[in-house]
Amino acid sequence: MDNIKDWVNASEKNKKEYNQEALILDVTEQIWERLEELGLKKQDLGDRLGCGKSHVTQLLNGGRNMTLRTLSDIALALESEVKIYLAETVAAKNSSVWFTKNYVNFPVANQATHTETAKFETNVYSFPKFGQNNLLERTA
Amino acid sequence: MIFYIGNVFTIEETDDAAASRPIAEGQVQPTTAIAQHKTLIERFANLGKLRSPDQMNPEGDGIFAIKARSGLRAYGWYHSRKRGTFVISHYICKKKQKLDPADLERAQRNRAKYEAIE
Repeated sequence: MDNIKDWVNASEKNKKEYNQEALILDVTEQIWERLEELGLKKQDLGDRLGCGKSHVTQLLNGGRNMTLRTLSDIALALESEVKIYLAETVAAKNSSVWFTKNYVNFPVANQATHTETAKFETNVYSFPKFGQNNLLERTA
Repeated sequence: MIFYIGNVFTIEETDDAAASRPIAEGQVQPTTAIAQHKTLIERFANLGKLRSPDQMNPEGDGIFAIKARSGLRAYGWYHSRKRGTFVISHYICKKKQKLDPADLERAQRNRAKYEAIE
């Protein structure tokens, strides 16, 4: 039994909203990871962006839509750059359930990951590995 | 019972969780709130942690809350004997950030009952 899979596949609306939330979570988790790496808090990020802590909280919990411009500003504030990769959606083996190889992005330089994640055939979804294939990469 | 099997954690639910989930989900709108909460649980199970303290934090005595911005939250604990298992005690929908002591007690009761059997 997989309650999450059942719920996602119950309607196109559920699938769409789930994908949106998954993308938001993947992006915000990577921002959190970068904050941890730099030893920064939400207030520090707010200071660097020129906005308040509550604004940052809303961005990081998905309550406020994050534009690409804002994401770019966050990356700059976190001494990072954004890399985007749209991965094709593939059908899971022996299943009518769809899944995506990766929601967010993978740097072109790390194509090996696609092979690795494609092995997760028993999973409905596969996920970017934080710390290895991050949306936010350190700038040189 | 098993709720979701992730790469890192298997998520199990108590009977209370299975019963309270549809009630709590019925109290939040729109469905994006439910989608967000399910995403949090799934990512937690697959990645092993949620970095944002706004979305998962300890509530005391080994009880944790996985919280969506909508107010939908799941209380649970790491099973003491089944390695790699996180058990959801129950679900509620509440807007207040502050923990209601009754929810902590409910989770503690569910944990004692569940671990005595499972």
